[in-house]
Amino acid sequence: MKLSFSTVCLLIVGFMVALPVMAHHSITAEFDTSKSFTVKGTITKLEWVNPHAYVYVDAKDDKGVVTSYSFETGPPGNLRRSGVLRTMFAVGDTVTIDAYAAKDGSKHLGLVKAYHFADGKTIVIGKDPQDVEAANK
Amino acid sequence: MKRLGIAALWVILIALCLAGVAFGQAKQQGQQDEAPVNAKRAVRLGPGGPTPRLADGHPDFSGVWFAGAAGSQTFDAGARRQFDPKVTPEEPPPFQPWAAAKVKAMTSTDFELGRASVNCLPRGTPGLVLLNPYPFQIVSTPGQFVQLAELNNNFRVVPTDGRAHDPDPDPGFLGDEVGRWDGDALLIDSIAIDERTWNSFTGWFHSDKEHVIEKFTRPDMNHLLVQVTIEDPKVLTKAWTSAPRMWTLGHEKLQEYFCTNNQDVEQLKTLKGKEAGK
Repeated sequence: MKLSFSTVCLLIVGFMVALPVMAHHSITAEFDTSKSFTVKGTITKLEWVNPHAYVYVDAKDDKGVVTSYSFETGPPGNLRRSGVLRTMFAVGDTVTIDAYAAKDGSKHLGLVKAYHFADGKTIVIGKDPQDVEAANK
Repeated sequence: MKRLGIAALWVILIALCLAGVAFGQAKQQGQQDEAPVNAKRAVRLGPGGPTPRLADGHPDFSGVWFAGAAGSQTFDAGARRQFDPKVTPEEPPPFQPWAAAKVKAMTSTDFELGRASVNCLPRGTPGLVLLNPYPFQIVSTPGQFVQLAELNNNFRVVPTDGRAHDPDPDPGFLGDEVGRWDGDALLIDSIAIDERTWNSFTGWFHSDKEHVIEKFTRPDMNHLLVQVTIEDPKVLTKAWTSAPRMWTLGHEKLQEYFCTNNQDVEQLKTLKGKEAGK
């Protein structure tokens, strides 16, 4: 199989993509982009629908207590255009998610910044809003 | 020192790879007249050829159109921008004092809860143009302009034969829309627009007397410009006209977008309740 330069690069960096910000709602009205958190757990459910796909994760702490989280991510169409497909996720997968915290204080809801899979693949969602604002000036 | 060197090599390698991926993706789309805006991220389309025309000689707006300069979804915020405010500035809406006070009293949560998008409602006229970062497809034929929006799978069919408005139209999200030609510009004239739509993401509500004129032009193959004029004698002191907003020709099919799993409204209502409790 002959690999293009782009394909070779994708293999080297793992799967690292970035998506434009979403337009269904203001990110900063709903999420606190100054507060981030990271959860490592197992995917329990996927909802690949509009206006946002959701990934649900159960995380177990040191004492074995399981906490369920829901993570909002991009709309499926935008994800697909960026090369992120539903089949890249599977219930039962172990994943580490970096997310922005919900502004209403919900501790088990986040807006995904990045998915890190056990096999080394990383999917970066969006970009820091501050950078977007700076680019728009 | 050795570790620093290896880290630096990785940074350079990843940067090269990202540039290669962006370049490779752009080339695969077969876009014409590409000129790099940011070699690592996006391209800005050139003219791509002359304006295509319909059998009747009017410009043909047919194609899939993406907001901004890249002709595709892009990570580059600069390439997504539809106009340069330094070149074609837009004035704020000229609200009447009572309307300005109403908007000023809104919080950022109010802005969100009032947005058509947050409520999975159609963005309507002129939101389909002013508040729509998703692509749409236009199908032009002599006498008819069809716009198929990815967002909410909305569509509109506008006659372009210069006919008059319905004398007694029902209100609708798109309103009563008729089109006429002014040289190479198509003017879509809309009245009777449902008052649940807004003209901005920050509270620009309107009355039942709103009148919207959208001016569509296609100066070349790859570019579509839409300039919107809004009159609203109950809310504004004078007409407001947008900058010419730019869309560029893409080569991808639209995706499905039915808004069916909206969990944001409940979260925002919770936030609003906390604000009210302060």
